[in-house]
Amino acid sequence: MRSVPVVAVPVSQLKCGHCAQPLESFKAQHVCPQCGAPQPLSAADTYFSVLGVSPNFGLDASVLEKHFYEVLRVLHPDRFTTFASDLKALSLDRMSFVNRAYTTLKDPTLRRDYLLEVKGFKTAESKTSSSLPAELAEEWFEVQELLLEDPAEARKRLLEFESNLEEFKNQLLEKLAGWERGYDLTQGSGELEKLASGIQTLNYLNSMQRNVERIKANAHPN
Amino acid sequence: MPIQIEVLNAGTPGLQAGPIVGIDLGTTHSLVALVKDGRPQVLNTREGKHLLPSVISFSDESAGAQPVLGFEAKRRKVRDAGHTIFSVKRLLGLGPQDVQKISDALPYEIVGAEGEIRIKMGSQTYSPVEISAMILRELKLSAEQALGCSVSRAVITVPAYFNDAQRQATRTAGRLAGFDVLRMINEPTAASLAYGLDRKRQGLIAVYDLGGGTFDVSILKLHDGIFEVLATRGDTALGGDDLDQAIAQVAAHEIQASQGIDPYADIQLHASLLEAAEKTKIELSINDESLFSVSLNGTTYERKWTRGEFEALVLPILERTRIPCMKALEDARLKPSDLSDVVLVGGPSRLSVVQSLVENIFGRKPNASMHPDEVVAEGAAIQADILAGNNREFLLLDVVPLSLGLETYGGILSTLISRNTRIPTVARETFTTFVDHQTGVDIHVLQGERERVEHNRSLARFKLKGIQPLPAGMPRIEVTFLIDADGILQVAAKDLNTGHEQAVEVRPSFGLTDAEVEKMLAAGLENAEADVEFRRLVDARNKAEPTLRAAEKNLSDAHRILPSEDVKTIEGAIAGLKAALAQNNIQNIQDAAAALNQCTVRLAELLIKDALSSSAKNPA
Repeated sequence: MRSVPVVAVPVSQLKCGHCAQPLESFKAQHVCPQCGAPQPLSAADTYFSVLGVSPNFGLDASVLEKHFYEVLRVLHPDRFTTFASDLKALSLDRMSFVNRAYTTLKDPTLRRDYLLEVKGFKTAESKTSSSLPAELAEEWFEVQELLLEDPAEARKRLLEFESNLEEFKNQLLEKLAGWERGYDLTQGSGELEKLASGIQTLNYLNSMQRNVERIKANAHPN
Repeated sequence: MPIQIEVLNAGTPGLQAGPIVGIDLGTTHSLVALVKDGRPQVLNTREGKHLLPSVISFSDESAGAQPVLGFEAKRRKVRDAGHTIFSVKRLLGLGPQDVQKISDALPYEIVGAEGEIRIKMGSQTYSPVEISAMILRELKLSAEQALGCSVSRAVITVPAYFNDAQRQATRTAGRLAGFDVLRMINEPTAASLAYGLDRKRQGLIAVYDLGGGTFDVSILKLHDGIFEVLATRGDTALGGDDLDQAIAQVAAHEIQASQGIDPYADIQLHASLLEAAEKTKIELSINDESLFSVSLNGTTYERKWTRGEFEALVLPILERTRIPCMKALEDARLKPSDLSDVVLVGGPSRLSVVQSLVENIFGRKPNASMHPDEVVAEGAAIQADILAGNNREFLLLDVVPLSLGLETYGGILSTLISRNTRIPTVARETFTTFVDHQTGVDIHVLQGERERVEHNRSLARFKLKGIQPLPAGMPRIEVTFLIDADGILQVAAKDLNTGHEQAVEVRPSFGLTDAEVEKMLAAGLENAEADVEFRRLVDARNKAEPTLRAAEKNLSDAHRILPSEDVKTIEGAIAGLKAALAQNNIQNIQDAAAALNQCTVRLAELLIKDALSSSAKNPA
């Protein structure tokens, strides 16, 4: 699995693309404090690095917002309206990236998926076999068989299945949260693997919950 | 550390390029404002008012005659309904199939031509963009007169729920009017800037903006000078105009029932019903009763409206604002109780029925302390001040109001950028070919929230051209969709195999191609020259006419105190100036006025002497 570097280049090594001034502070990676030029995005930039936060699952939302506002104040295209067009374009590009970064990191689910992605784990494509426990799978199979034969019994079993599903999902969410905390402490790749496979199961559970909702809605049009 | 912005800020440093004004281009009226000493001020129009009614009248068809705008045009709305255009903002950026419902409610004739709509005025037709440009131009001239300098840069506001085509149309109108449109900002966001100018106002607010023809609701977070839009919803075809229409509709039905005539068949009568309806609406915002009255050929139709009747009539229309408000809160993941204020914007927000509805929707008394007509223009001026670099404390962060997507196989919309995404924003998508040696790929961009393509708004079709002829599926063209800070889409494409930039041909679904805009700009310059000539003529007349009046007035004294041949010379010069004025020739007027001045110098001297000696003889 290919791993995208997630740790930013130490800021002290960066130099302004316009006047070659070394860029030392967190804000300076965006706009050179010497000449005022917005800096081009580099392949090493991640959503974490541009917002000056560590690449972890847990994050202090107030720090994230504070950093975002700090970047916004110096980088937003409104600050470059009367500048040359190439500098305007740099601000536009970089600000678009920072906007995406903030949207992604602000949402715990998007943030988790993004961190796994930069670490080389794809969570969106969850076509692999599920790790649903056998008894849940069996219940689901029975409900589907009963739907045509005995709708009343099917409905009863569906509600039982729904609550078992919910319980299983809650247990999984707890495990996921534990693995996230574990990774933040140890940066161990074992946790990442567990998370990636756990999220595939979670996606499967979510789609099954939607199926249950659909069946319930069809049985009771009102 | 010194920030040497001067180094990069080459070309157009703020002061040399003149001021940046803020413009509210409204459905019913427009305003221009500028920040002076840190406070936004609405500039006077050439009519000496704050508001410029967005009305334009072409009634005088004589050669060289200019259309009339503002209050003067508004007065002609009824008298000369066939030559007067209003509420043109409702038509901006629309295609022929969009306007059917609107055009039935407007007394002027709308014709569709090649995917574009035009308004018919006598023998001429005008596009909504051209009419909007004329309004903006009048504001430009007003600002120049008020400030005594040339004004060529502006921030123009648009309804937050305007789509890309409507924004493009507004920007084109600005260009045609001679403006460099530095930024377009959303009206409720502009209002929030004026509201938040007082830095003590912080927290989560809702802006309920019911204008003449559009409705927007935005939820914002105000924090330390950052104005962050969290969500926005709206309806670009709902406003105070609809309330007028409803009242006029009642009158039309009653006239039809009692007199057997359809008043809407007569454009003048249609216009007078709308005018009377507007008057009734405004009166009912102050009084409990209003008399609706129009004269029909010989007779008069009168109807007394109580506020209760009016409210019952319009409440169902106003209720249409409720769902957008709830959805905006939902999008922002907030409850009404999370808000610290609800700000009212727009003329119709003066109506008590609107205020009580808003209170009912948000569960709190709305804040009606802002000037509902002027707050948007003031906000535009503040944004202009930010862009000029004078205000480094404030910053707006806005969102895209509608999702942007691409047509995929089977006519399904695939969303690329979802609504309420912060702007600027970017999305990338890789395309390939389906046939061997295919060199072009068509891309259809749409805006909207519905699943099927035909239920969304077609924005543009792009053609990727000059792709290397390769087996199907081999080319990889990465297309970048960028929504800039104006909320307008920009597209760029790159061939990932070669790294070359790819040609993108843009065809807007409605409105004007770049070539058409260039053509109109060139024509606009010709018009501008004609305008300059016209203004010089007016100046020459204005200088000559007082000279003529003074000479005529003193002619009897001249007979008394001047030799008869001198009087004859003066009489000749008077006749010469009158003739020159009748010809409207600038040079002749100036020459004749100078000649008259020349030969009346002696008369003036004698008259002054005369006056002095008589006052010496008869002290008061």
